[in-house]
Amino acid sequence: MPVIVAVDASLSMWRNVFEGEEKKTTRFNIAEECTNQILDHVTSKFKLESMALLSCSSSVTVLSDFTRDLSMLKNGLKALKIGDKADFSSFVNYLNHFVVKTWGRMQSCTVIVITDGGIVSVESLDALKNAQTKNSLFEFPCNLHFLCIETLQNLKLSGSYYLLHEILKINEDLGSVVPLLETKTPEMGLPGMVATSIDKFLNNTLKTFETTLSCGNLSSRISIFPSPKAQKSINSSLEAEIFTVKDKISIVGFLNISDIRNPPVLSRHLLLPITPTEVEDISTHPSFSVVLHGSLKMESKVALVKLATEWFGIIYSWADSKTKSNLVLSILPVGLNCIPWLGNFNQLAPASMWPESLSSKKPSIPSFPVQSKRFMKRSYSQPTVAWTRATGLQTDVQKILRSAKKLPEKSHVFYKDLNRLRRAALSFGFHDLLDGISALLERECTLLPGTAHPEATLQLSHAARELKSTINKGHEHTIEPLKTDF
Amino acid sequence: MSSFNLDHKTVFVLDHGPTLTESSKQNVDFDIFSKARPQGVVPLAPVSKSLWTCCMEALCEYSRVVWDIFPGEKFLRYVVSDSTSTFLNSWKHEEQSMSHLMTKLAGIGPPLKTSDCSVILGLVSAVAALCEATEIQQQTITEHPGHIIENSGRIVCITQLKNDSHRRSLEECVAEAMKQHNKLSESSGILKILSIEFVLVHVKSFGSDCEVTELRHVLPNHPSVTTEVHDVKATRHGIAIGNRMLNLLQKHYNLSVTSITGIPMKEEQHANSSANYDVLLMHERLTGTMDRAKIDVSDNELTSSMSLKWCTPKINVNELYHCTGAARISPVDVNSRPSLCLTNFLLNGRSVLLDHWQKSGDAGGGSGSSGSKNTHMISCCGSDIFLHALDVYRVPFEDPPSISDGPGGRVTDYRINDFTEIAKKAELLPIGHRLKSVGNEPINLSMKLLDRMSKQWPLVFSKTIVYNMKQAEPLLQVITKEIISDDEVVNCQRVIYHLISMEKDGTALPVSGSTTRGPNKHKREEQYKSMWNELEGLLRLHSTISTNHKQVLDCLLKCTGKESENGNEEKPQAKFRVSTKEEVFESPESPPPVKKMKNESEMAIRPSKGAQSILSMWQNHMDNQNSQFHVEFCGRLTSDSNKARLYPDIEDEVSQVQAASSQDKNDRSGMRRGGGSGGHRFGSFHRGSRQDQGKSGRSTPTSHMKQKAMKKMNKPYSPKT
Repeated sequence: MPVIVAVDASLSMWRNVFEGEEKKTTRFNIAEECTNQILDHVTSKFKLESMALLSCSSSVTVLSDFTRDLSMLKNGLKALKIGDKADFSSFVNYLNHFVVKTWGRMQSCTVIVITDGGIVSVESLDALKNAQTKNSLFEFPCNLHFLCIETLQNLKLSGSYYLLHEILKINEDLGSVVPLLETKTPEMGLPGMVATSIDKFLNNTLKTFETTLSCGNLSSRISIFPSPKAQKSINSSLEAEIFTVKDKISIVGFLNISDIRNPPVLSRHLLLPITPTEVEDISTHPSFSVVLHGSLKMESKVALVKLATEWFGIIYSWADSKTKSNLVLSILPVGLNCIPWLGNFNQLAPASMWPESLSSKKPSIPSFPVQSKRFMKRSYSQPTVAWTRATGLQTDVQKILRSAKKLPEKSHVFYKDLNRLRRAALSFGFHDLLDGISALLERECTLLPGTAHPEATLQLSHAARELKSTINKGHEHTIEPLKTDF
Repeated sequence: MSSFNLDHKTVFVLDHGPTLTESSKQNVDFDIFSKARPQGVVPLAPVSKSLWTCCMEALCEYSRVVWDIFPGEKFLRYVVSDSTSTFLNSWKHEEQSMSHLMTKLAGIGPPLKTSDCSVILGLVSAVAALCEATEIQQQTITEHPGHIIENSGRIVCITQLKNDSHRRSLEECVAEAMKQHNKLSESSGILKILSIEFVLVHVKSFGSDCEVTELRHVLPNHPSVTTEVHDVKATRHGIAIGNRMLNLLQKHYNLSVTSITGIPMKEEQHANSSANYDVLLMHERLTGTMDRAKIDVSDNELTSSMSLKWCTPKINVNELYHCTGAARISPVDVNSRPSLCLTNFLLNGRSVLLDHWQKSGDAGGGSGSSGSKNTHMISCCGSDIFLHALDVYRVPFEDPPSISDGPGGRVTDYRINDFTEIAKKAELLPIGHRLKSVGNEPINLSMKLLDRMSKQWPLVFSKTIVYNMKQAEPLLQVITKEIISDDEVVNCQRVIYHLISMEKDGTALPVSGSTTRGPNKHKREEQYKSMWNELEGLLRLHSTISTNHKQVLDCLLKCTGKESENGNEEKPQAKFRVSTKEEVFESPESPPPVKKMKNESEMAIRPSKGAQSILSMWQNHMDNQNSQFHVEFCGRLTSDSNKARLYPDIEDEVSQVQAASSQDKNDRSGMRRGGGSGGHRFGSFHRGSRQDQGKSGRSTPTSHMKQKAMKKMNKPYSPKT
């Protein structure tokens, strides 16, 4: 996931780390070194990772927008200048805008703030708490880490430790507060101490996510990039449960892209086969991932893969450009019924299991999309009465009049619409309307041209009579056409 | 603890008393003329709707949208309150529908004119209804006993208040009823209510001045009850009530209102031109977009917070869009012509891409600056129409290396077509509930299938002989089945017999890749050996599935002379087979039948697989040609791999011991024990042993019989090329 490094550029960073020492080192210098170390680490270990560099005081400065280019990031770092005072709430607002414009609101990001601990003031905490109309600090999923050039003891003494943790609480406890200094300066000296702390932090926080992708007895060791996020179950009726991707994910079957119909997904990830270490020539050592990719691409299929109990994803061939295609995993929301048109995942079975004897008798083998038959039809796929607007009623009346003019040919449609209108009027307690329509039909009777079929007159006056006389006959009653001898 | 949102259950209390019989004082013209009015015809007098009619129309619209957007998820109930209280439906799924509601409403008719009517009875019933569990809640209780259900609900009371103190008495009534029911819930099985939102919709006719204070507050003495009062005048044909209810609906379920603009529609009058229309839709807020539009409840028409422009309807169904959210939609005006056109178009199975249409500034819509990319898609999936939000942002793994540059990327002889066959067999369909004798998770059938199909599945052609052989195909097809019929067993046996006769006839095996340098008799023997090994391994892995699977393995073992693992009986067979080979070739040094080899491998086998690149075909061809001019180092010819072992005799004794002990595992080494040596010493034993075996082979009458029998069996399989 993209990494944003933000350096606290407030004046307090200008303080020396240890006052008594001969060689004066400001926290600002340390912060620069830390940033360098993080940039080197990430760009060398995670070649696909985008990073951005910010500095924040009362305003936020973008030193480098998201890039994978180390030299650009380092150049940006050279422009780092000391500012005035820290304002964390404006930093949060800026960051929301900054991240969302590039990555949207679904991409989770890592934000590393390098500070002396004093970046969050009581006022900014209150401001953030009050402004919090949404559930979380950020508009995007965010892992927020504070790297503090301070000892744990001093952080606690100054109260910063509490404030930083309050911020993390608003961020759904995603993140950490890391004091980079220790009370006793170890033998390696200050830079060494900080470098070790940073190293430990980076190795703990930024990891490649490795897992085994299997299909029956075939398997391939893969890394998932960016690392999949653990998910809380969205099922409101149960206690929130944390779901994490397992260290073995198995393909349960295959689906056509045309059947799966663009399901909503939580995130997408690149699947990169991992080279077995004992193999010398990696490019010629066969890998299951490559077979899978080739087949999925050729057939326009996706592989449905089980990530955890009741959690699935789809694997497919994805191409950034015309020539370079890759295996990509899209993670579906947690749950067996998360995509309504695919039905319950546990109820899917291989097509080859469908008994042949059955298929000859019933040619309609159930297929996608799954129709939700359990509940009634939607209003837009069946005749619906909606009269809140005058036009709704007028359209329905016009329709009856149109078929009334074409009696007796349109007798069937005429009575169907008439009965529908009658029922709706009864439902809405709109009995005056029935009298009105009755009068309308009687007038239509008089307006019929001389060439009209004699039955038309009979049917119209019959319908007009019936509308009035059946008001008390209830919803179930149907006005039947008059039986005539014509 | 299990929590259900406040909007999971809503109870409407409908005042069925005399106040609502009052006319809305607003008339509706039902007699309009779409074309020129005939001369001398006076339109009929407009009819006026009663307040009740206005309210019921609005109520039906509210319910329609809820059921469109949340089928089976959100529940509505209706209590009609006059001198008694009557429920129109229950929480059951089948009673949550428009047709049920309309029928029941018709059953109760217009409001009563008697004076002893009150909504109090209805409110008490409504609280009681909230204590009942919906089917979803019931399911949670059954599946997770011991869970406390966090049960809340909303009561919407449509009535006419007399004044603010009337309101207070109704509030008090709800709070008191809740208190009593919660007390009761401790002893009986009913659900406890955690909180209630009590919405009072005060309706009055046009011109009425009976005003109440619009407010929202938590009851001071009952913090779990929140009251909200809406004062609505039935202006404009009563549409004010309808609009107010839609506004309330939007707020109650936190819905977005989106306008689809620029929908091209053919005009009836001008068939060759088309005008553009807009359709207003309601839907759940899409994840991934932040709809900041604040919902103000008013009597005005709903306004869209986002406009999406219609784009080309041409969509490649085999293209997978990265979609971050999908929400069911419901048209605000379901029967308008543009709405009907749009929904019918989509219900026919078409999808349409949409562009975020920026009005001036940030209209509060989701996707920000996205250029000309398609931000949304609307399509029908199953019975429902969904609005999909598409991802338009930067891909986190932008411009990755191609998979062909990664591990295994340069391998050219992957069995991709064969894997496709597996993928086709394991193509999932929603048929689980229709399959009989399946446990509760039919998806496991698919897992089992994949497991069986991949028990021994070499990734590349160069690592397999069996899968390169068209002759073996029928067996390979059958053996991965869960159940094999007796006929299929016979077919498999035929295949095995055929393979044996192939070996006997000296038919070259389709060994692909450049490793078949200089195939000759020895090489071929090796190839057959590994083919049999491969096949036995395969059958052995499947032999545990059923007795019929085992039978196929047994047949192979019998034919390859391993029916009893310690037996001596295999010897004659082995000798016999090798001996027949000698009849084919004059001497070990005779040039290999390159042409035949090529034909076999490329014509008979390859076309059916089709996964060989032209390059590898050419390489094979060249290798075969070159091999004719190349005199192979005899040490290499006889070695296991392409590496020749120097001084094989040094390990002579060791290998003999090994051969003896490993014969059970080493599938076909037993056959060659006639040569008096294990698999390591071919160089030294071949010539002598072959003659030995030859003699004994000819002199074995039983094997002669078998030979005949096999020839007979082979008929259906004989030359296919």
